[in-house]
Amino acid sequence: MALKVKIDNPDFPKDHVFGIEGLGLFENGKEREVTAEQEQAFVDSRTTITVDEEGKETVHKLSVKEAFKSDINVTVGGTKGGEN
Amino acid sequence: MGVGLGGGGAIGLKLETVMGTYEDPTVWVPIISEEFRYVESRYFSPQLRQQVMVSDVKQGYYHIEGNIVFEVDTHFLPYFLYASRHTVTKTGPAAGVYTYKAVPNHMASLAAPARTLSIAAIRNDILFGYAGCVVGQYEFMIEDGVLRCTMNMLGLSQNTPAGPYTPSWSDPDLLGADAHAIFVASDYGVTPTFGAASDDFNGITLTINHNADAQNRIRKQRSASYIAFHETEIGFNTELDFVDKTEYNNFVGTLQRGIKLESTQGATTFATATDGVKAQLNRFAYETYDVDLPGLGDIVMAGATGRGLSVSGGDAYELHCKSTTNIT
Repeated sequence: MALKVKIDNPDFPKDHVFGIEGLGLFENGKEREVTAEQEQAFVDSRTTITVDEEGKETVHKLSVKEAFKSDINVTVGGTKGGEN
Repeated sequence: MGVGLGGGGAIGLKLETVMGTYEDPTVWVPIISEEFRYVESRYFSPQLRQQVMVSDVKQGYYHIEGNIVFEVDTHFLPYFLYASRHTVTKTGPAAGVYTYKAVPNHMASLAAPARTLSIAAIRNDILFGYAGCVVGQYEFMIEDGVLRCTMNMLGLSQNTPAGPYTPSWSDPDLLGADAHAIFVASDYGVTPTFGAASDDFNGITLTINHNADAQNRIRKQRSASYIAFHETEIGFNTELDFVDKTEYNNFVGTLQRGIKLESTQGATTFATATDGVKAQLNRFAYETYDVDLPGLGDIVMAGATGRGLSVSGGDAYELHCKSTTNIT
C-alpha cells in the first residue's frame, strides 16, 4: 500500500510548497501519496553503511516514517512526527 | 561515513518555547554558509610540580558562537528578527502577507517571553544542535546584486539531537539586482522625510551590532547563563559617485538625516510590496567621507561611512519584513 505523507507547518500558508529530497513536492496541509519508486529512492538516499573494526559491514536503512519522527509538522501514514 | 560536501548540509531552526531548551527544527533555512562553533574557556592548571608545563585540564565555561550567511529570503528573516534585542510587532495578514517591524530596545538580555532559536546543523549527515541562539549582529549587504545578511550569532549550549532530521525546502525567493533602492531623507527623526531614491550608491553594507557576548554565572552547568547585549552600534559604509561637494560639506557640517534600503520583489515601493525588506536608520551622520584622485582610468568616488544615532521619542532604526510566514 502506498505511503501517505503530509506536511502541515502552521508558520506557512496552505498553498506553500515544500520539496523533500527523494520524495518530491508537498503542498502545505495536503496529504499526498508517495509512490513506491519515490519511497525506494528516499530509503536508498538515506541508507548508510558502517564498517566495524573487524571489517564487518552493517547496512542502516532509514524508512520514511523513521526519517520524520523528529518533525512535529510531518505525518507519515497517519503517524505524526515524534509519536513513533 | 564517506567524505561530505557543504552542499549536502542543512540548517534548521525553531523558536524556542523555553529559552535555552533545545527543540527539533520545524523550518529549514537555505544558507550560504555557517560556522557555528563550540567556544570554551578551558582551564589548564599551572600547578608548580617541578615541571615547567601545565599539569591538568578541566572543562570550562562554554557558549556557541558563529556566523550564518544567507541570501535574505522573507520567508525566514522574521525568525532572526525575533531572536535578538528587538521589539517586534507583527501586523496583518493583508492578502495573506504579514508585516514584521523590529526596533531596538534597551535590555541587557532578552526578556521573557524570549524568542531564542534552537538551531540544528547537519554536517556530512551528522547532527549538531544548539540552543538559546540569538543574533548579536546583522550585516546587510548587496553582493552581486543580491541582498545578503551575515548574522553573528551566539548560543547558550550545544545539544545532541536524537534525529533523524529530514529537511523540507521552500523554493528560493531572492531579492535580486532589480529589487533594491536607497533613499536619503532630507531630515531625521521619528519619521524622516524621504524623497526619490538616490542613484549614486555603489554598494552598501548596513550593520547593526548589539555587541553581544555570553555570560557565565556560577551554577552547576558549564553552558552560558544568558547572552548579554551591550551598546548598539549602527551604521553603514558605502561608495558614492563624487559628482559635487554637497555630501562632503554634509560630512564636515555633521548634517544628520535618515537613510533606508528597500528591497522588494518587483518594481514596487515597500509600502505596496507583498514581499520585501526595509532597513531604515532614522538618524545618521557621516563618520568618514574620503574622496581622492584614483588611477588614470578610474571613476572618482567617495568612500563614506555613516553612524546611526538615537532618536528622541522614536527608534534609531527599523527593520521591516513583508512575508507570508506567520510566526505566532
